[in-house]
Amino acid sequence: MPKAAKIVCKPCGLAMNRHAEKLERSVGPDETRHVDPDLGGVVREVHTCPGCGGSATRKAFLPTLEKGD
Amino acid sequence: VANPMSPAPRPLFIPVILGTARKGRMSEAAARLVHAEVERRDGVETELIDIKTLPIGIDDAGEAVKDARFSATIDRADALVLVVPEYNHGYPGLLKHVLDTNLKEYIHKAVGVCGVSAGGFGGARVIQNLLPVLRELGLVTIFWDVNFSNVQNLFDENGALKDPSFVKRIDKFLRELVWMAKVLRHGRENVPL
Repeated sequence: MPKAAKIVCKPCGLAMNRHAEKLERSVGPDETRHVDPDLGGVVREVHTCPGCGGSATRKAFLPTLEKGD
Repeated sequence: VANPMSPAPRPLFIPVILGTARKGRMSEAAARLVHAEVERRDGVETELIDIKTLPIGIDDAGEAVKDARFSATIDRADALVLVVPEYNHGYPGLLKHVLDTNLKEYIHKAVGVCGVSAGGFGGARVIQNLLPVLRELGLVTIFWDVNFSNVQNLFDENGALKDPSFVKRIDKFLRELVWMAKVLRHGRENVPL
């Protein structure tokens, strides 16, 4: 499976570390199409810069699970 | 052994949040005491955040009303200290409203809670009620609390502490919080999911 590109910290230029996924249950109407029906919300990746500690998020890529997974 | 060539580590940033805007609040003296104790620690920077002063509207909720400066402060934080009075066994509604304005800024960061009450339980019930909220926000709670019981008797009219045993209790609380803050910072910055 291809890996998503690392987020680069704007102030530091360093590759950020993806350390969490957070389910956001209350989303605005413009994001309802991104709601995962199995999880009940939008999954966001959380990334932190090892240089300055700043954080960033983006919607997580969720591969479709095959039967038996 | 520390490498003398290594750059000095970034100090931890641990703001203290005073969680009530009520007039005559006794929690302010408790928050100022805890803030002073955080400030005395080596390698830790802090700031006292009074939710009364935050320009956060009440005509909407969540990230729709977030304050950029408050969010930047929380994003920079490695841990939070909440000083929270117990109102009718619960937490102040304004504190919940303020906390809900952020989300990603809290993820994998440590939090400790200081309960404040006029009675003998020292805010134990508000702490218990707040824990599931903090968990859902993505914060990591520690297992030490500070309980300011009978708060009306703990401080003099100038806000000075009358019971020095609280300094030791706060020290125990902060030692655990700092440890958790260091571990979680390492995890956020170096350990991929």
